[in-house]
Amino acid sequence: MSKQRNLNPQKPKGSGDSQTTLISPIAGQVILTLISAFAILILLKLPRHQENWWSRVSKYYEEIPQQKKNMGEEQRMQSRHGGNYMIPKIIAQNLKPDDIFLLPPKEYVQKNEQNPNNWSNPYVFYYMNSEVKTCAFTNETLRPQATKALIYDKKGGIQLVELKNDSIRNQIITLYQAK
Amino acid sequence: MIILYILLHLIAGLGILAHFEAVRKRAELAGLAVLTGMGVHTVMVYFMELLHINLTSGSVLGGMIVISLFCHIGYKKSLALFQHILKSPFDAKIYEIPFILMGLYLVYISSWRAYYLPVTPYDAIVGMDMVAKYAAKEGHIISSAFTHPNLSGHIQNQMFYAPFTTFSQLLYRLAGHTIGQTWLGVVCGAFFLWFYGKTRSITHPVIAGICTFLLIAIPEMYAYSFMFLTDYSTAVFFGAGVVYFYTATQDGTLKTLILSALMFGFSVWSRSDSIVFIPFGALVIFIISRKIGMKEALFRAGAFSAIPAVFFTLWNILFFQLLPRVPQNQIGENAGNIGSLLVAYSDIINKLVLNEIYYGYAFMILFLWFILSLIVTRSLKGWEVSVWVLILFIGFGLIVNIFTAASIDNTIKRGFFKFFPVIYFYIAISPLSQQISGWMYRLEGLKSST
Repeated sequence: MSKQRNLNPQKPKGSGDSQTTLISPIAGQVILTLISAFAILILLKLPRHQENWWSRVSKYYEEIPQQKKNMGEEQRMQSRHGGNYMIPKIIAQNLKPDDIFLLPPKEYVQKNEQNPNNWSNPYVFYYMNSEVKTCAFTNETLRPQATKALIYDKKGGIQLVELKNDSIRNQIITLYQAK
Repeated sequence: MIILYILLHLIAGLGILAHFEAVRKRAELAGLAVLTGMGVHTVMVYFMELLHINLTSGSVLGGMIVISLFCHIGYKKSLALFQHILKSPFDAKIYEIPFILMGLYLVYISSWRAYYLPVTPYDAIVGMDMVAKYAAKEGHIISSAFTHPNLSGHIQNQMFYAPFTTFSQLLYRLAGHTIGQTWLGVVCGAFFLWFYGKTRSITHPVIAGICTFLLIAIPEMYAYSFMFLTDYSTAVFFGAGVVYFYTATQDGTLKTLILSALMFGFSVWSRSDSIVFIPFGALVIFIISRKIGMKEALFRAGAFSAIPAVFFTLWNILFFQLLPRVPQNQIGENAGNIGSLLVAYSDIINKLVLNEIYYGYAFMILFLWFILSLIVTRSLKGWEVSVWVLILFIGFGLIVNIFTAASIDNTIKRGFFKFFPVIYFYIAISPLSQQISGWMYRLEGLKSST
């Protein structure tokens, strides 16, 4: 039981030579086990751990069985990304190969979505869907060539608009720019 | 496939670590080998891209196998290492069970979330995972993510973040993990195995367990153990760099110092701004090594800086030449202005160091333990670790001051993760902990000397 351990040169002074103990090594190990378990319990209960970390960890643990039932990639993307995933997908499904989709400015999306997403950022859109040809709202050179755009209806639903002529295009641009 | 990948990381890492005698404890070795192997495999991806080799599931797996075996080219060292591993006694104790169970539980949750949840942070979507996703699809790092007309006129700095995380994500995407950031779970598990293994070889396992537990319980850092950004991996390698920096100051060997530099190198490979801290480390090495001779001190400081500098050059200088687009100059107007530098330090203290939500009790514990240790033991032993707390603090102020894109609320908030392996390693080796460690060993009838 008195096997020596290899420690680095940081050994404490005066602790190395004596092996005299008041209790048996087994009892010592039991005490240390209790100290370990007690230390964990105390640390978990400390307010900063309990409130900001442990409560979340417990919630994460409880979520696992439900998550295991929803293993499809589609479900996981939908539940985590919501509109950021769904809106580019819906747009892609409703566009013809030659269409160029005009991405609305961030402010317009923020004004109309309850939980504003950032799907209209050209990079986020491209990450979610690389099939659709898009035109950033700030790209004034390409903007006249855009063929489709999106508007929100009063209930927060989305609607695709065909930019048939300059008049419709300008109306949409004005709508997007409205404060 | 994950198991095969982890095994390959382990094999590659063991090949590298066989050359460094400072790493010989089983848990420490296993954890660090996986991390080192991941680092090596991401460097492999880089060179495959330079050589225009198509990045496919088959080519990267083949490459990983070849590289992992190649790491054992010094097979005599590898054989000696394996003999050592087989001979070392299994010395886990009953009192370690509570910490081990708790650790397994937390790493399980972390790994599950890393595996299950899609990549979520904005910075990863428009940055690292964007590059990884299209590289996996198109077979090259320089993919449509850099050139597609949809993205013209815009540039996202996040795509140019350092490569470790991007390439890890790419490797695991090519292994079929197209959702999630499974590799992060591997980093998290290996990190805690390594940290616990290392600290328990220096101090009593109960103290090592408490320190490891406190490290994993840092709320903000735990959250990023399953969310894809660069800060967590950087902190892991930075922590390893500091730990072997300290080991090098204890064993005095150039070899261990090179191991430390390699870890700092991977830290820079994970996030380029880590390079800011390297000159300070080189200065400390220079000061410590002066007693061996001026020439040797300069050489050691140089060798210590050279490895991270190579990693920085490979990506930020060499690879940037090949990219069709690179971010603009990111040096801010106030760079070098002392007034704004002081404001940065004061903001960092108020918003982050004194923050009650993000980092648990880390800074409070560090401060109290440092003072208490000084009063009780009258010793500053372990200063080679605690000095890194100061270096980090100085460095973060400089980062805020120099780079326009660096904000305290984001960049530095998560950059702060680098502090925590350093802080809890310091607590573990502090003179006061060593004294308590001695009492604990005596309680179980063991000597605490070699």
